[in-house]
Parts: sequence; structure tokens; C-alpha cells
Amino acid sequence: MWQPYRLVYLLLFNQILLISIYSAKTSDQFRENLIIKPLPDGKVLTHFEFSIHSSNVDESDYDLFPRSIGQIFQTYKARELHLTFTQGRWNYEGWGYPIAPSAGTGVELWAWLWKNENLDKNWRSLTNALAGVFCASLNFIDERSTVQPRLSFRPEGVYIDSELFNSAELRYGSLPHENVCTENLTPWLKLLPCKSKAGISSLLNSHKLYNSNFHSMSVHVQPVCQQKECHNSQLEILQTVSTVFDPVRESGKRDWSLYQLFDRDITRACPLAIESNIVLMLPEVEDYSIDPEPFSIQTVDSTKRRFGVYDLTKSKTNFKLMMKWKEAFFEYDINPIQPDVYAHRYFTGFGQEHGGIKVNLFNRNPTNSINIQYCDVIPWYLRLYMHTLKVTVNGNEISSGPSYPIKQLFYQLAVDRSRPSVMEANISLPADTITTLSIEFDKAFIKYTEHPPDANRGFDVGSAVITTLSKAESKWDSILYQQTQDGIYTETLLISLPTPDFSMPYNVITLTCTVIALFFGSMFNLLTRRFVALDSENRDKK
Amino acid sequence: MSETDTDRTRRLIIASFWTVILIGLPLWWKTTDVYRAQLPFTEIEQWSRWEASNLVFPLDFTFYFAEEDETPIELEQLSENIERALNEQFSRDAEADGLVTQLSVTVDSVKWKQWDKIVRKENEIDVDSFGNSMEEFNGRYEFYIAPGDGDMRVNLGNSRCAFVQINRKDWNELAITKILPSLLFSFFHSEYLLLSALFKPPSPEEKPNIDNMRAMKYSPRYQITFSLMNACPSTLLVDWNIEEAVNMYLKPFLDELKILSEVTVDSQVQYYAQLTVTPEKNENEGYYYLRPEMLPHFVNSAEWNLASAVSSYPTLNLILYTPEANQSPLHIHNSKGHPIDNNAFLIPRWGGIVISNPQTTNNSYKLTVEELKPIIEIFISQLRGLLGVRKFTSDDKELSAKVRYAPPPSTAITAWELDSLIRHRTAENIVAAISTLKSLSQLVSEIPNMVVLDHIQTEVLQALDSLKESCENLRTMSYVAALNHAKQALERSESAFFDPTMVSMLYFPDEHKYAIYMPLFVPVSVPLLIALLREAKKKK
Repeated sequence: MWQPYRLVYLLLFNQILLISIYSAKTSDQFRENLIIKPLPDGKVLTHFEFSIHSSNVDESDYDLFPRSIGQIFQTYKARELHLTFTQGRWNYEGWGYPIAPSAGTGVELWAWLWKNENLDKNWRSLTNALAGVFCASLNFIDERSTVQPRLSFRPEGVYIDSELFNSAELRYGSLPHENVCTENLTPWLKLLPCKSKAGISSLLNSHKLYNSNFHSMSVHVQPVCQQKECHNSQLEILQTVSTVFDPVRESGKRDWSLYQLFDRDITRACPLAIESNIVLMLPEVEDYSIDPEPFSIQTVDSTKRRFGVYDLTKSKTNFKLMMKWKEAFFEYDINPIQPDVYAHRYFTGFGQEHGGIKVNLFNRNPTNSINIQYCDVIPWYLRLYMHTLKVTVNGNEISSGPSYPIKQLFYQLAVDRSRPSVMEANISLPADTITTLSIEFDKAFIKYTEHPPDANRGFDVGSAVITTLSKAESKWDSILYQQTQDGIYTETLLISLPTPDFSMPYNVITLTCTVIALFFGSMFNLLTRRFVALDSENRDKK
Repeated sequence: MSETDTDRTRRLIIASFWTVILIGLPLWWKTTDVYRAQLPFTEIEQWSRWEASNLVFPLDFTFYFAEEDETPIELEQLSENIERALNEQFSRDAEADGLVTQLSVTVDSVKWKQWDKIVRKENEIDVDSFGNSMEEFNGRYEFYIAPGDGDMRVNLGNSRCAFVQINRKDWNELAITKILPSLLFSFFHSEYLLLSALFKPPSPEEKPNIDNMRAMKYSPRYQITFSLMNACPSTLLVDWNIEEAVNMYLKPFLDELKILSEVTVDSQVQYYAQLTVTPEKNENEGYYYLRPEMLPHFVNSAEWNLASAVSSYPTLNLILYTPEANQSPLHIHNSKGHPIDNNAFLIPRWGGIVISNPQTTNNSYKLTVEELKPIIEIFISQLRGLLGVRKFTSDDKELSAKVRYAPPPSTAITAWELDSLIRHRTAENIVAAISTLKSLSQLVSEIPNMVVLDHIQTEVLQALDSLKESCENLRTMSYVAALNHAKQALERSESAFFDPTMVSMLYFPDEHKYAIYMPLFVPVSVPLLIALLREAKKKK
């Protein structure tokens, strides 16, 4: 299960045992962490994590746990809730894997809801309520875009298989076209106990966060266990912000400081947090200097990766942090790191009638084949033809047999104007290969009222999600996330459908009317007028 | 073919064209018409003009006179006399016109011996021990009257019962028929004024009633949110035991109000809740203060998380604010520049705010249940104002009676107050339901091509039925039933009015339709008209 705060559990186990006075006072526990990681291409990843554990969420009395989220969660009978806003796309080949799985561009919402007769109504209300809280168009996730994946999106909190599937159902929806900006960040910040007034969260400056190469912001609500036996389950709200900054763009060097990245320093610690750490992932090469030196350095044994840790609860003064590299300017590494699994998806074909989707799934592991779950939600107006599904491995088409990579395939047929088609597959990627799936479709001619106001922009198709359940240590460049279920997101796609001229109906009405009127006029005149042949004789008489 | 023959054929052709058009036009009109269920416009109109109503709020008083041997009170005729005097006094009041008063009086005597049981030391009686606390007795009040020395004294209980002591020299039928009506008038007059004000159209010169402006609009459910606003947890971290305090002190009050509205309570703690106004400092005494004109800007609605994401019912916000260290202690000044006692203020139709300055040298502080008691008491008094509870008092300064009120009950609301509130809310709901129906009928008649579906019609008819029921129940003094019917009438009329199909923006204005039909109708009609004119000319 993916629980990034485990990182700090592992590293700072001793410090966590130091029980703060507040943990005795309230039942809610607030932890905040900032993980900074210099990326191989000179960029800097900052990953904020704020987690609140609460053991009495059934109550109507809230302390640190945000009331708005708690009430939405309780009222609409949710078991787990995951909402991610992303701007830009995570560059897997340049940056490796993200610390927390970023979602595809736009907004992604998925939730496990307790089964009851109102489940679909609850899902509608949930999207509407969250739309209100986060000032996002989440209310546009309706029946037409909601799906129930069968293989992907397992719960991230604690669960028992048998109990889960009998009592809860999954709903997933995404809005690839949604822009993420300050109006989403502001309500997100208001959920934090210290808002953006103290502690690590005071660094979150929207002017800087949205001036970056990648930005992802999320809220996860899920049940967690405190002990192994799980005597009393708690509810956790985990809020994260991941941002990739590019110091090289501004100075030509990859040196950075907190002030340079966020325009702010941390002036005071959040008194409500029982844990407040800045974790700096130290690069393997030694040609850099950090100021101040980490308060402690931890090493993960198996990979020898080192982490510098700053415990802010011990720092009384303003906290500043900077990192300098011993180099005159930064030279890009021409050999980008290649993670084991990554994917690209694109449209094929031309014209306004037919098209195709192609997905390249890369397995760069030289020795092991890797099992993945592929999930793709295609809107109904792209009519897929299953018989055109082709699978090639390194360019060779494979249609059956033991080497056929698709082990299991779920396909939900689209229904016009009511549900999208869903393709889910359990795929085994052979070692060191490129597996390509391709499928063809027809573009639907949709009603003219179904076009958005900016009709000629086209329609967005959300990311495909690749979920890996990998035990391989080398999959992650840190080993912290063993046994993780993690999503790798492909690009979102933009497709243009046949777009009519929207003044057409009126033109047709007026033209038809004019033709009818002309016809009527001449017919009427023919019927009512008398036509007399005049001869010249008569004319002369006149 | 002769000349006349062709003329005849031509005329026939023109006539047949016009016949088709004249038959076709209404047909076209009919087929392009939208569906409109018939609404009872006349009935709504009648209600809005108060023809169907003749609303009454009857009250029933029972007087028990002490049976004394020395000067016995003649009970015969007494009840009629008091009743007449009472009704005259109420109907004489010009301001309360429009409302029919229907007050009935019963008299009885009780043996003085029995009084000893209920009379305690120095004539102090435990009136509540024999008052009726059941809701069905709304409108039925009992008065125990005994002679005594000194001024007239009234001992008002918390349930529907009072003990009145009248000076011995007034202990005769004639004086009693004067004293008792004016006593009752002084207690119930203000309520009647408020009730009749509801039914009158608001006049601009009239000053709006402050009580009414304070109270929330009626809703079948309210959400009360307690928020602890901690201005600076870095210097002082405040926590509270609100859950227990609410159960202990607030719940009895809310339970009493259940008959009117369901109330749900939740609470939250907000940290770093900063003010948008900067308090001023009193240098002499070393405290900070807020002037009355700063109070409207006290609530920082942009930053304080006060809205509920799940409830669509009105929210009452009760805020306990603890100022930051460099603005502490914080007090509220009155308009004369003195700090006010309870350090609290009410925002009409929104909620209440209490400022608390915990005295502590630690950097964390927890408000215990005991410490929260005075704070919850302030909140309850604010809630009484917000929910429309009015104190039941005598408003007559000239009355020589000394009124002694029983100590407020643990429920913080007496039966007198609850009765009055139920009557007021019933009247309010009836008025609101009628005005909603009136607006609905206006809307429907103003937009002729708005679709009116069958369920709108059903809702409207049901609302009218509920209104009738409610008025009927008022007449028979079944106030609780009347309130429920009035509630239903309001809910139904609002669900009809706020139905998603009843939005004017959904419908095309007629101009658009004409613009589309114009290219057909104008060119077609020109030859037809010309042919008609030419024929007419020829006829001449």
C-alpha cells in the first residue's frame, strides 16, 4: 500500500517515539513533511505531505481534521476518497518515478463508497460537494464519465479483500480538461490546521507553485491502522503537493534555496504538528554543499541512498535551506534515466471519420518480465472496434499463445450519451521490450448542442492508467515503496470531432422559408391571375 | 369560359386559400402551445387578499378563585363579564386590527385549604407543580387568584400557570373584571401586535421590528456550528470540551424546540483565525477593545471555514474567539466607550460571537465543561434571539402589579415562550406560504410560454389544502397540528416555486420565435393580402 509518510516512519523511527504534549491532548495527530529531491536534469522536486490521523471521525465535533471533508466523507458514506489536481505531465523518462503517484493532467477523483441503495446518488452528491469545496468543475463527473474499474484502483488504506468487495463499490471519474490554479489551492490550504500561516505549509506560495514545470495537488481520505493488529482503525486525511521547479532556466545553474523556490522562508513551526520534517534526498555524487548541514543523516541499507533530515520542531529560529553545486554551469546529462515501466499513448489516423489509439508500453528491465494492469477510459463518441485490437511486441504481432501478453481483458461497451467504454487488461510485459496495443475507432457525429462552447478546440480524452504491483526493488530509485500499487499515467489526448457550423440551423430555416414563400407566391399568382394574349391590333386600338 | 365564370373561380380560389389559413392558424397555435397545468389562480388570489382566511389565535384562560368565607366571590356572570372586558380591550387596540381575537374565560373556585398545599412560605408558591407542561395545552392558561395584603403580585411559573394575589380591597367582582383583563392584556398584547404586523403589508415609514430582524427565517431544520477560533496557537493553544458542554447545557433547550425545528449541532476548532480589524488599545488599563462600528467586520468570512459543504439548511454560527497574545485581553466597548459585561455580540440572522480571554501563563489551555457553562449560557441567549424566542413579560409600565418570574428552567425556555413562538411561527409560515403561492401565480401568468407540469399543480393544491387545515386547527386551538400544516404548506409551496422547471430562462421569448417564422410568413402573406384587396376593390 502506498503510504508515503512511511518514509519518515522508517527513517525517523526514534524521533516519532518522542510523544509531543499535543498528542495526549487531542485525539487528532498532525504530521507535516517536505521532501526535496534534486532531479537528474537539474530540476528540483518538492513534495509536501500533510497527514492528520483522527480516531473519532464519526462524531460531529472536529478538531484538526477538516470539518468540510469529514462531513462530506461521512454524509455520502465513503470508505476512501482520492482527489488529485494536476497541471502538466510528469516526465517519467527524465525524472524517474514520482514520490507520490501523480495523476494525469486535469482532475482525477476516485472513491470507494459503501454499498447501499443510494450509492449512485451519493457519488453524484460527493462530486457536487467536492466541486463546491475546491472550486473545481467536479460536478461534471456525471454518469457519462463515471466508470467502475475492475482491476485498477484498489484501496490505498487498510482493507480485507472479502469484506471490501461485499460492502463497497468503486467509482472513478476524471476531467482531463480542468485547469488547476490558485482558486483550487486556496480551499486546499484552508483544510490544513496551520493553514499557510506557520510551519512547512507557509512555503506554499501560489505565485511560485504555478510557475513550475509540473504541479500536482491531492487530498486522500482513507482508513489506516496504528498498530499491526489494527485494534482501532483511524481515519487519515493525507494532503500532498508535488511541484517540479527548474532553477536552471533562471540562472543556468541547478543551485537552489528555499527562498529562491518559494519566495519565503519558514519563520515559525506549526505548533499543532507532532512531526515537522524537511527531508533532503542527497545525490549520489559528492560535488555539492548544503547550508545548513542536515541535523541528521539516515541511510537506507539496501540501496545506500542517503537522506538529510531537518527536524523543524527543534529549530527555533527562521529556517533557511540552500544547496549549491560545485560547477560553473549545469550540463544536461545526455543519458536520461530510464525507469522500468513507462508508457506513451497517441492517436493514429487522419480525417474526421476514423482513427486509432496506440499505446506503447515499455519494460526496460533487462531480465524480468513485469505484470501491469492497464486501464483506459474512452468517451462514447469514439466507437471502438474490439476486433481491431492488435498486440505487438517489439514490432512482431502476437495474436495468441503463451507469449500473448494480455492475460486478462475486461471490456465495457460504451452506450451513447450514457457511459464510456472501458478497457482493462492484465498484461505481462516481457523483459526489455516495447509492447504496443492498438485499436481503431469511428468518430461519432454528435448533436450540435452537445458541443462545448469552444467546439473547435476538440475533446479531451483522459490518461490511461498503468498500475504495477511490483516487488522489484530496482523499480523505484528509492526502495521505500516496496509492494506499492502505483499508477503510471499516460498523456491526455485531444481529439477533434466533426464540428458543424453552428449558425447552420437558422440559415436552413430562413433559406427553406424563402424557397417555400417564392414557390407559394408564384403558384398563387398563377392560380389567381388571368393571362390574356394581346394582339397588336387591339393594342393599336388603345 | 365567360368573364363572370373566371371571376367566380378566382374568388373561390382566394376564398379557399383564406379558409385554409384561417383554420390553420388556430391549429398551429394550438400545436405549438406548451403544456400548462391549470393552477387555482382565483383561490390563490383570495388567500392573498385574506378572504379565505379569517385567522384566529384563540386563547383560553381559567381563573381559580380562592374560596374564602369572609368575602366570597360570586362566580355567576363573572366569566362572561371578564371575557367581554377582555375581548373589548383587545379589539379596541387599533394597531392589532385585522386579527380576530377569540379569548374565552372560565372561572372556578378552589377551597382555600387546598391552597395551603401549594402555597409555601410567604405566599411563594411552586406554581410549576400543577401547571400543564404538555404541548397540547398550548393556549390554555391557568391563573390562581387569592386575596392578600399589599400590592397586587403576580407569580409567573414556567409552565402555563400563574398565581395572582389581589389586594383585599379589590376583592370584589367589579374590581376583578377590571384588573384581570388589563393584566392579561399587558402580557399578551405584544404578541398580538407582532402577529397582526405579519399580515399587514409592510409600510415604509414603519420602523422594522428589531426582534424580527434578529430571528432567522423559519426552516424545518437548522444547523448549529460551534467554532473555536484560535487566533494564534503559537503563543496560546486553546482547546475545549464542547461535546460534553453541549450535551449538558444546550441539549435540553434544543429538545424543547424539536416541535418546531430539528437542530443538528457540530463543532470545529480553527487555528490561526485572524481578524480583519485591528483592535485599539486602552493605554491606561492595558487592554484592547473593539468599537461597536468595528463589529460588523469582525467575522473574517474569507479565511474562516464556516460554511458547511453538506447541509443546505440555514446555519447558525456560534463562535468563541480567543485573541492572540499581543491583542489580549480583548474587550468589546459599547457606544459609550465602556467595556460590556458579557464580551459577546450577536449578528442578526447569522450567529453569535463570544470573546474569551483565558487567563493562563502556559502556552496551552483547555476550557473545561464548567468554564464553558457561562459561555454556553451566552450562546443560548443568542440562540433564543436567533430562533425567535421572545421573553414573556408584562409590557405595561402602569400596571401596579409586581411580577415575579420563576427562575429560568434548565431548558432555557418557558412554556409561555414556547407557546408564543409556536403561534408566531405558525402565522409566519402561513404568510410565507401564501406569498410564495402568490409569487408563483404571478410568475406563471407573466411568462405565458412557461411549461407548468402536473406535479406543480399537485403541490400548489396540496399547499392550499394544508393552509386550510392549518387555519381550521388554529380555530380549534390545536396549535401543534396547525404548525405542522403550516410547515407543510410552506414546504409544498416552496418546492413548487423552486422546481427546476420553473425557471424563466429555460423558455424562448416570443421575439425569437417570430424571428424564425418571419421569413416564411411575410413573403407568403403579401400575395394573399394583395389578392384580397384587389377583390375588395373590384367589388366596389
